Amino acid sequence: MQATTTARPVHNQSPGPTRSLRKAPIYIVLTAFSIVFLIPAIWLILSSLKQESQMFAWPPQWIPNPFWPRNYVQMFELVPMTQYLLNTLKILALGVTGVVITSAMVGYGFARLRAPGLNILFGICLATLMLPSQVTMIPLFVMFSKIGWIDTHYPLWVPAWFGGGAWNIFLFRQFFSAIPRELEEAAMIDGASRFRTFWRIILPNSKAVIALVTVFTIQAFWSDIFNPVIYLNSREKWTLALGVTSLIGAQVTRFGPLMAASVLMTVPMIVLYFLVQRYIQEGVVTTGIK
Amino acid sequence: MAITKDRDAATRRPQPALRHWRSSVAGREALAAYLFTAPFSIGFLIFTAFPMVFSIYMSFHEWDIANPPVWVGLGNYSTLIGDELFRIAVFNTVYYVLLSVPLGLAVSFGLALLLNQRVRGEGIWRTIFYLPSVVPLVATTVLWMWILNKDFGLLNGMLSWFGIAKISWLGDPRYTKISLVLMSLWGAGGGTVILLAALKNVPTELYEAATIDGAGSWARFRHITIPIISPALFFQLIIAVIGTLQIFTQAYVLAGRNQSSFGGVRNSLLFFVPYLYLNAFRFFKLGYASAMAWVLFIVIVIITLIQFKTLGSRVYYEVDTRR
Repeated sequence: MQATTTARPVHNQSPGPTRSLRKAPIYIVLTAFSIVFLIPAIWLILSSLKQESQMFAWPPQWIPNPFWPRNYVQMFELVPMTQYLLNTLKILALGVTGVVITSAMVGYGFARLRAPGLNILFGICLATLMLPSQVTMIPLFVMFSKIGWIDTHYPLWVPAWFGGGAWNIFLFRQFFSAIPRELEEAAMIDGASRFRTFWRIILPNSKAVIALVTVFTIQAFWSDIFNPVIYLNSREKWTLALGVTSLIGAQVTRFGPLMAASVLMTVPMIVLYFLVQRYIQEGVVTTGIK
Repeated sequence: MAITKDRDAATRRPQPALRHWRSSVAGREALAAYLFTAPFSIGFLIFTAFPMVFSIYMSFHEWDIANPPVWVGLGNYSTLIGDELFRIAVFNTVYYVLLSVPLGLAVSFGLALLLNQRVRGEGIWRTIFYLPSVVPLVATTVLWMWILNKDFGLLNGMLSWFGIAKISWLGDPRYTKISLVLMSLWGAGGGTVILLAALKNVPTELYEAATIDGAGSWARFRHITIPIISPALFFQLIIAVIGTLQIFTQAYVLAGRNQSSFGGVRNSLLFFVPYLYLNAFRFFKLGYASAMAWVLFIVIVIITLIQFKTLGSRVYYEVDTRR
């Protein structure tokens, strides 16, 4: 770390060969780290295209030979992957919508409105960040079992419609606080209601934070395994994340289809990242943790 | 609105004041505030406050859902102290947190510092470092399970170039937690983005002024960079500690799916939350598991408070003059 800081260029230093030479160590370290970060991902993709006999070779071989995309077909034959995918998409759509709408509403209330006790409520909201979900998990399980929600998808998405979590509320509040008040005041003088102002003025100006919360929430729902493990018993109700683990056998693990399933799980998240990358950068900067 | 027509309510409440309050700007704003925050307030009561109270009650009882709860006082808590598996789970969790959090923070901060050196193609580097943290944890674990495979894994294959004998990463209790740390470091680039944003917020004038005053690069780093981004670093630290304490997915995928192999080789992968899950949903010791959950909560609160006390006072907060 010392080496990197000593290499820090002074802002107004004249550019020239000495400067690029001074930066050479930085590029070497960056390249080394990039290789280390990329190798596992490349290995995942290559492994998913290998026949299992080639996977179990020593020393490990890089290039798939023969090229074996059948793993991608086989995972659908081994487990009801389509069903898992549909279940996940359903829970995700319902849950993410709930999180984004309600956390934006609550965040707006905390950012812009004043009422007796509201600051205390916000304090409580932030305090729940410290509360591990394990404390409420067991009572919630009992509550949901009393109303017959065990082995249904309801426990996975219904709670998302109640504020969407302290972290998302906080992100929205930070972002809304930075929007100039004049924007809504003009609309309200024209007679627009609070909700209308929120819906028509505030939200359209908050694409960055909406993208940020949406993406983080999609990632959370897509990868969650804790709640599905607790609430879903029958296989046909499982989610993708849970279904992928079922390819890991107690005795025999089908590594080929397992790698293919992992790729299948990863690709949508990568695509999503690239689609909203601009907003994520912007959102991280604007809501910047200060 | 129906209330005002109610004769009783009308006599009990100072009606003109109420009407005044309701029609006043402040009153209407307050009403809007409560409506906007209602999803949280209602959700907090149903999904947090009530379950918390219920959970305390349960932690003082022995309960398996099927039979009525039996009061045991602090019995569950005292059983925890003598529980050998609980002690192993605590040890493993602490071990993992102490290794994974500092190393992860060092890697993500180191990368952020490098990317802040006005390098070419910053966006590409940033994307490369960030991408592994986008990979779903289940997929990450499955992938590393394969990379760390003793007989056919890539890591042992690469180590063999240096003449290092095959290591049983996931089968030898000495290496299982190290394996999880390696896995977590692969995702360390997630923090890089946030720290890099913080580094970019450091005003360059400060560096220029310090340079003119003769400050070396280490002095600039130590007395300008660190203080100004300390809130971001501090925040990352707290979030990482809380999150890492609750490790579940990796342990579940590697060892937790079968009750027979739960906890991995010689329980070297038995962590706090998976053990809690085992007690609650496999053994149906709901009271005992609730007691564990409260221990975890109290530990998290204490750790957070200690971090605020010891580090928080050194964190530099810029006074926002815009308001």
